[in-house]
Amino acid sequence: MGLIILDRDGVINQDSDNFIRSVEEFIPLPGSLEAIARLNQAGYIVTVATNQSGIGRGLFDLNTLNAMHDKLRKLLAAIGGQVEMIAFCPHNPDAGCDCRKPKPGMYLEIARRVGVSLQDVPVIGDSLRDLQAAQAVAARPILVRTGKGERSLAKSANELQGIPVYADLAAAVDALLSGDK
Amino acid sequence: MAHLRAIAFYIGIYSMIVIIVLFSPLFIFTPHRWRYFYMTRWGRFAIWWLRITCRLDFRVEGREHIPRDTTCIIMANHQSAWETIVMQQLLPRHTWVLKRELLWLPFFGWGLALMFPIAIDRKGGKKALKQVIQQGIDRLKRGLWIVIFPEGTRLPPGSKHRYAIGGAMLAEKSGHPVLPVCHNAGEFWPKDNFTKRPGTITLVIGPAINPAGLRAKEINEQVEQWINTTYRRITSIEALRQSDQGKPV
Repeated sequence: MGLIILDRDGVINQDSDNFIRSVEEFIPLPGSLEAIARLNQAGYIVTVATNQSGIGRGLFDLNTLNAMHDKLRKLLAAIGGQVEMIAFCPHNPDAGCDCRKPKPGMYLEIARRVGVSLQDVPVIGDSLRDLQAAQAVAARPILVRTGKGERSLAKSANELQGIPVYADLAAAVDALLSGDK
Repeated sequence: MAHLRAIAFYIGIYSMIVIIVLFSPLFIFTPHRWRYFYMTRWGRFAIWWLRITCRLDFRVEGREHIPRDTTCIIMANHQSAWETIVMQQLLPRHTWVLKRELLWLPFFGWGLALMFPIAIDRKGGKKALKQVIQQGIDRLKRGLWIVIFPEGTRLPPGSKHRYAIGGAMLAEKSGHPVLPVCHNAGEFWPKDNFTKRPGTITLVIGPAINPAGLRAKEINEQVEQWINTTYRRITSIEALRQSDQGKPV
C-alpha cells in the first residue's frame, strides 16, 4: 500500500489570500473529493500536510481547524473517501519551526506515524514550497494549476522544471492511477 | 469457508501466543521498552494474519491528533478483541485497565501480566476506582499511556452502557489529556463470534481533550458525544447511521 501526501488549500479546497478562517470558507474544489476516494480505492494511504499559520497569527483557533477537517472527513465519508492523517503547521512564518513548508518536518512526521518511507511518495501541491519539501526527502513532487498553481508556474518556472503539472487534483490522480497499472 | 478461514486465523494466533510467552522470560529484566516491543510483535502478527486469513483489513483516521509531548488516557468504545490488538501498532506504548480475570487465562493472561496492566475487580466499586487513579497516575508518569473502555465490556454495535467514571476521573486528577477513539470492529469481528466478516474496519482518533477546568463528568460527556457522533459516520449498518446518538432504533 502506497502513501500519498496532498497539500490542502488550493489542492483539495478553494484557496484564499486572506486565509481560510472558518468552516464556511472551507469549500472543496470540483472533483477533488472524488479523486481522494479513487486513491483510497486504489489502496493509497491518503494524508494531508498543510501550513496553517493563521493559527499562529491568531486569525482562527485549533477548534476551528478541527471543525474544518471534520467537515472534510464527513464529506469524504459520504463518497467512501478517507484521510488517514492531516498534519498541520500552526506556527508563524518567523517562528523558525521545523514543520512549516518548505521544510519537510510534516512529511517526516507523517512517515513516522504511518510507518512507511517517503522515497518516491507522490506529493501534490500548488506552491513551490510544497514541492521543495518533497524534494528534500526524495519524494515525488507533482504540481497542480489550481489554487496558487498558475502563479507558482509563472513565478518559479526554473525551479519547477521537470516537475509534472496537471490541471487539478482529479487530473493528477487520473495520471497517477493509470501510471500505476 | 468462513469457518476454515477462522480456524486458520485462530491456530496461527494461538501458536504465536505460546511462542511469544515461552520466550518472554528473556525480557523480564530488560527495560520496559524492549519487553513492550517484543510482546507487541504478537499483535502485529495477529492483525497481519487476520488480513491474510479472514480478509479483514482496517483503515485509520486522525493520526494527527496523537499528542507528541505527553502521555494520555485513551478512551474508546469496546466491541471486539480487535481494538485492543490493533491499538498496539497505532498508539504509543500503553497498558490497559482490565478485569483481573483476564490475567488468569493460560499464556494470554501471563503475557498480559508482563505489560503493567491495571487489573481491577469489576465489582470492586470505590476500591477499583481508587486503584485506577493511583496506578494510572503511576503509569502515566512512567511514560505509559492507558487504554480504558469506559463502557466496561464488549458490546454489540448499536448498544450502549453508561460510561464509568474511572478514566475521566484519572484525567481530572492527573491533568493528562484524554484521547478519544471510535471504531466499528464489532460489525466485522463480533464478540463471541467464531467467524469474521471480510471487509474494512474504520478506526478514528479524535482531537485530544484537555481536562483543565473540566470535571470528570464533563470529560465523560465530551468523550461520549464524540464517540456517538463519529460512530454514526463510520458504521456500515444503515439503521445505526440514521439513529439518534448511535442508539438502536
